[in-house]
Amino acid sequence: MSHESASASSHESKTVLIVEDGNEYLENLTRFAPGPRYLQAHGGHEALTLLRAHAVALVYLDMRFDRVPRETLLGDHAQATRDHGSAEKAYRHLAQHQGLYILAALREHGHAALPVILAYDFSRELRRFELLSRAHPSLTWMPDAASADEVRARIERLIDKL
Amino acid sequence: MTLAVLAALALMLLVAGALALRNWRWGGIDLATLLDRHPDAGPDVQRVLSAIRHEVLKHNTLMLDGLIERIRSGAESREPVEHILRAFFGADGHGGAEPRLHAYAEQLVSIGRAHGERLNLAQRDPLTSALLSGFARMRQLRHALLAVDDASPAAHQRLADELRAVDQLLNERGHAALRALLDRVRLLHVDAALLNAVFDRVRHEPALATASIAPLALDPRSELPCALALPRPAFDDILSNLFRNALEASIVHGAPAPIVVGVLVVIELDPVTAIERVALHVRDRAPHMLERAQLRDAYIEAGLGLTADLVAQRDGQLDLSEQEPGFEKAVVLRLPGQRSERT
Repeated sequence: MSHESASASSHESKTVLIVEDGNEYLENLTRFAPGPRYLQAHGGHEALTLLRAHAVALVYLDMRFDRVPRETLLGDHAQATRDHGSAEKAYRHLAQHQGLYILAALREHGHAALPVILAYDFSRELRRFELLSRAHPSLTWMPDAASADEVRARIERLIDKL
Repeated sequence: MTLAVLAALALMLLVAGALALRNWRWGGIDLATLLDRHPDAGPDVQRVLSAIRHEVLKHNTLMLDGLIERIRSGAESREPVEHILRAFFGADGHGGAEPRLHAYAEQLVSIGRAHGERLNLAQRDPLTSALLSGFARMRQLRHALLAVDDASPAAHQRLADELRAVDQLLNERGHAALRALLDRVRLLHVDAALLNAVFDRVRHEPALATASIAPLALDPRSELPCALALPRPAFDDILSNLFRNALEASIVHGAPAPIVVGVLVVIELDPVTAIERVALHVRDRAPHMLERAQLRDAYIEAGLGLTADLVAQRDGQLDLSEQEPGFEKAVVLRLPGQRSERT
């Protein structure tokens, strides 16, 4: 399922793909960071499908996907089971870090240069972020407590670069 | 006379009741104290805190800040107000961040109770008191918010100031307290001194006292210090069991004297998530070989059954390595790592 929302501003010709397990980012960005045209996907497979069909300028990616069906989660569940000791823990791991599995899938499908904002607070894990950004140089992150101004400015700066 | 006695008794009862009420209201402990007294509560507390972060706090700043801007500018705000009120309090008795917060608070109280402690989340805990106060203040603003489009410019500014106070409670005090608690739960700093201390305690246990045991052979390539995401007592239990097992196996299977047990610490990186796992190779020279299946199936006879359970509880893993120069083998303990960093 996908959702489209458009709003008028100088950035309306640019499309931002929101990938999240609920609707919160779509609802909040549409209201409080208007301008771009927003598309929404609820998982990695759907995101890749939308990327094939639309010229997307930026991906706004959530980290945790606790509310999607488990079978839609990307990642090697068998390997995760070996690493985490049980099928249940493996699903939990994949859901909690799903944003990064989706990011890896974007790279594998030729979208390594696509700017991505990951909605996750890396302020306590800067080295981890540095390692991730080596693989995906156009990756940035947005803390949970980002203001509407900060979010809007980041989105505009990234899509204006294109 | 009788009346005077009765009055005095009534007064005493009243004072005792007031004191009991005060103690109930202001007594109890906060989450940091719970974690200090009961480090084993850490994983359960961490699970709930992560859920609060994701399910209660995550979108508040964006929404509140965006709404404050709108109200200050005098733009029409009824629709975003209704949106925020739904997000905060739910609709028709369903959903909402505040009901979720209360449910998580109940889970925290249960965790405290399971450890014999009474948590006072509303009065004593910096995180939950800030969040509960923030939502309570927001609730008080509901009617004024719904009428905002009919209010005067001065009322707009007052309402924006009130919302800013809510924002500060939830997103400044709340977030800061949450991060401080998560740091407290997560980090155990592991260095050579800690590994040597655990090993020395095990090698001086009565059952091993008569054996000739060399000091711990810590591989100089070890990536130390490092940080683990588990409490110290759990780490001590797990590592002690592995050291004890290595020493006993060396004695039983006739390893050359003095008995040498070694450790190599390696930080492994998951290529997708960049999450670190700390691998501790506990090496011995006992010629008897274990099978991987014995480790994974919590092979009791090898003395590792309890350890395997403890490791699994901590989201860790036991494995076997036969490529250990100078040693016969190593039991490899993998545990979630954690970088301690500050901005």
